[in-house]
Amino acid sequence: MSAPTDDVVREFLAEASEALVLLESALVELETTSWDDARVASLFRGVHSIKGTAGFFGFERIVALTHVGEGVLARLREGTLKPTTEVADALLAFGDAVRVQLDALYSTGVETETDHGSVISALEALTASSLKPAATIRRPGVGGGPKSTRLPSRSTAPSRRSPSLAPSRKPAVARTAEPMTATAETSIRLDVALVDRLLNLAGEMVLARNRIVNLHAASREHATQAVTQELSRVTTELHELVMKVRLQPIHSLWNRLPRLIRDVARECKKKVRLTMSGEDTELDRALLDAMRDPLTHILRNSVDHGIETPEQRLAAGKSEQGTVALSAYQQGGFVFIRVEDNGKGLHPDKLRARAVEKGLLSAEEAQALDDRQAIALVFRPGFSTASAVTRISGRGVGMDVVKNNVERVGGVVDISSTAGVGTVVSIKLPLTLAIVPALVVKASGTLFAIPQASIVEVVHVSAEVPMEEFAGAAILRLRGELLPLAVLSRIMQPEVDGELGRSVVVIGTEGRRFGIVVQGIVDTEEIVVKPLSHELRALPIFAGAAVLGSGEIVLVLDVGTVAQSARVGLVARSTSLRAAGPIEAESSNSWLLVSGTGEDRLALPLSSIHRVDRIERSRLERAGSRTLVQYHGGLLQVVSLAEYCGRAEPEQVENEPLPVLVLDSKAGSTAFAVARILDVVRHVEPIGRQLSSSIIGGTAVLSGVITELVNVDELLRILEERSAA
Amino acid sequence: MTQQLSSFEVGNTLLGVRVDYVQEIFRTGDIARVPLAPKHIAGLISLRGHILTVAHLGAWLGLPGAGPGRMTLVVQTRHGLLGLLVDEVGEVMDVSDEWADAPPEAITQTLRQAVQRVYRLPKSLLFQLEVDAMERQSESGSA
Repeated sequence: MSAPTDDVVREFLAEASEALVLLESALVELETTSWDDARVASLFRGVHSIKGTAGFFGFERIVALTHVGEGVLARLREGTLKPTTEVADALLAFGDAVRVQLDALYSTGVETETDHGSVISALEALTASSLKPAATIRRPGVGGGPKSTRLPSRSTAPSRRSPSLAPSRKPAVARTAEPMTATAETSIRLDVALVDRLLNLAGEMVLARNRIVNLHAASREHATQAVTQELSRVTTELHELVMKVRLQPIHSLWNRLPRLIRDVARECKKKVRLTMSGEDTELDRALLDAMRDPLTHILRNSVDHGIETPEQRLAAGKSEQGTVALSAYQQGGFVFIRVEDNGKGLHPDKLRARAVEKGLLSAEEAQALDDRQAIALVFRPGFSTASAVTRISGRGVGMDVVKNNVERVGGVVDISSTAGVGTVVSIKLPLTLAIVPALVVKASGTLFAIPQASIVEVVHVSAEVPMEEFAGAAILRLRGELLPLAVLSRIMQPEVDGELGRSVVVIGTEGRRFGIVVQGIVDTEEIVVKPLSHELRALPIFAGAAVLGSGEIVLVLDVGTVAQSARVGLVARSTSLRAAGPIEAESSNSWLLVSGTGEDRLALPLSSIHRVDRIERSRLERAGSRTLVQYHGGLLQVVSLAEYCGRAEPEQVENEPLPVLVLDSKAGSTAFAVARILDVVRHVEPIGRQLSSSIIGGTAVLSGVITELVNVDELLRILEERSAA
Repeated sequence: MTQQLSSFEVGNTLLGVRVDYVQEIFRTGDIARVPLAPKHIAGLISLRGHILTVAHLGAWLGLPGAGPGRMTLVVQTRHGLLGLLVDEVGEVMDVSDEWADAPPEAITQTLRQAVQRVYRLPKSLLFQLEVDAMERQSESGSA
């Protein structure tokens, strides 16, 4: 792990270099103006801090030099030494000597053996006899001491010494001339605010460019087109460069993490190895800053909660030493950061129990979560997985803060875990803050932008991917999954009952998926998101607005609020129907509300239902006592749900198609005919005693009406019994 | 004491705001509608790359006979810039305190709270708007 150390040293060199520049310019100014106390104090601090850091790294020559230099500055500060030309000379010589060492460190990584004896003794003389300085100072400079250390002959000092150095060092010494300038001149420090402003302007320029390009797209005039193209090219390049100014390799953020892991591991008495890959991945500076705390927290969690103690690991058949793997890579305009540990992982049941214990969820709500959602509970405010609050984690800052920090900069954080195997936390970030790739969509005649970070895919409603609606709740059947939908035109114009749209933007964040139905996909565009004015702050559904290349304004959607508006937020899930066995059926708390006879109300867990369909009555065929229908190339038995629930069959309404619920069992699929499909409801709280041995397993009050809850397991068991009979 | 008011008309009503609050005036361009926004918010206008919220003053104050808002008056509020859709923009008027009155009873409640003073001009009344007061009121109304 030598690379991070190098960086720290480089940072020290840059800082020390700056301090020396300040010292020099102050000394030079001394000839025309007098120093004030604050200035001396700041120079003192500069030199003192070089000494401190150099001591930390064991750069003894620099320590020796700065120790006496600091002494002289201290006396200046106290006023016991007067800032004469002699003092200035000695300090300049001191500065040069330190610089010789800094440059040597920069190029070879070790201090040179240059003798600074004369510089040191000159400084010491000043501190010893502060009132009669002239004679003592002059002597070393003029006399036997190496005069050149005083002169800013940065390349001659080491090279003059080179013959005395070991041969192996020669090449390094020969290189000193060039890197020497590198410490001071090839990089500059910029005010971050200035860079931000520059980036904003470049962003504005891109937008203006886009508009001009659009305006001139129709132009046939050759000259106009040529100029537009040139402007376009230059603007793109300018923007890219300005963005690059802000990009920094991620290792500048990571370099302190090995130390952190070491300390935390030691404190927890665990053995942990940290591996890092993709350190060169570049990220916007502001994003790096924003990731500092979240990453620290995630890593602490990994070591503190994730990795087991050596004994536990050995007992579990794992190697004694746990591994935390940190990786970063860039893909399609996003940067991904992953923290993966091979610790004990998260147990969904423990998380569910904890959520209930903490009062975050009711027992039913907790049970309704699938494993992925249970794991995502760690992102809830007030949730902490450690059963004992340790000194390292559990400081009241949880994964919810991590999530907030990541989302605030337009990123997405996700967690997945396998109990006993390990946990992966992955963060997806836009490359820069300023420009967000977005999908522009249309609904209710208005343009909206959806940030691409949250988009999984875009699908079009078709016969293979049907959209179904029950009493205002829309659902998409996508590759065997039921995807809850938020219909954008309905959210935006609740009073208008217009066309829904045929395009679905599938959104995926932290274990929940839902679709946004739009009337058209317009384009993808890079946008600069601007906050809405005060008058519109009360609309959380909009994250901001942006001007498109065409000059049109789009509203940027906040997908989380869209989900809430359509009431798909909390329970939105990708309910896997194929995998839906009895257990998963239990774990869903979305219910389909139907009427079996037309009078009653029955609710079935949505996840237990494979399809909802309507069958033309003319297609029903009688075969003995059974009713069959040809359905998707097979024969399906049609039975009455009302009859199974012990009530009269509904009256037949000849002209209307028969609503059916297709349920899968071991014996195959069966269509349960109902009188009406009413609604999809959530958060069903059963009242009274629940019976598992009867088809009507319980009751609940939904919208003030008593509703009977169908026990699908029992229903299917009875169905099989009857079929076998 | 006199002050300078930038005058404008909404429907049959002559209004003014202190001239130092007026940022600029232009012919109303394309307005991007904002669904779910309060009724008086007409939408967003792109102003040299900036995004400006515009309010329909007639709808906001319930002024009779208000047109669609041919002109946009950009005013400084304590929260930033806000566009006001008005029908006609008039000249800058020097008004004297001597002509001023408290808002009359016979105007709408909203208007009375938004109006700081009323000036009796030779031909008509001039209502001096206080935009911040309007905002405060619509906030408390919506809260």
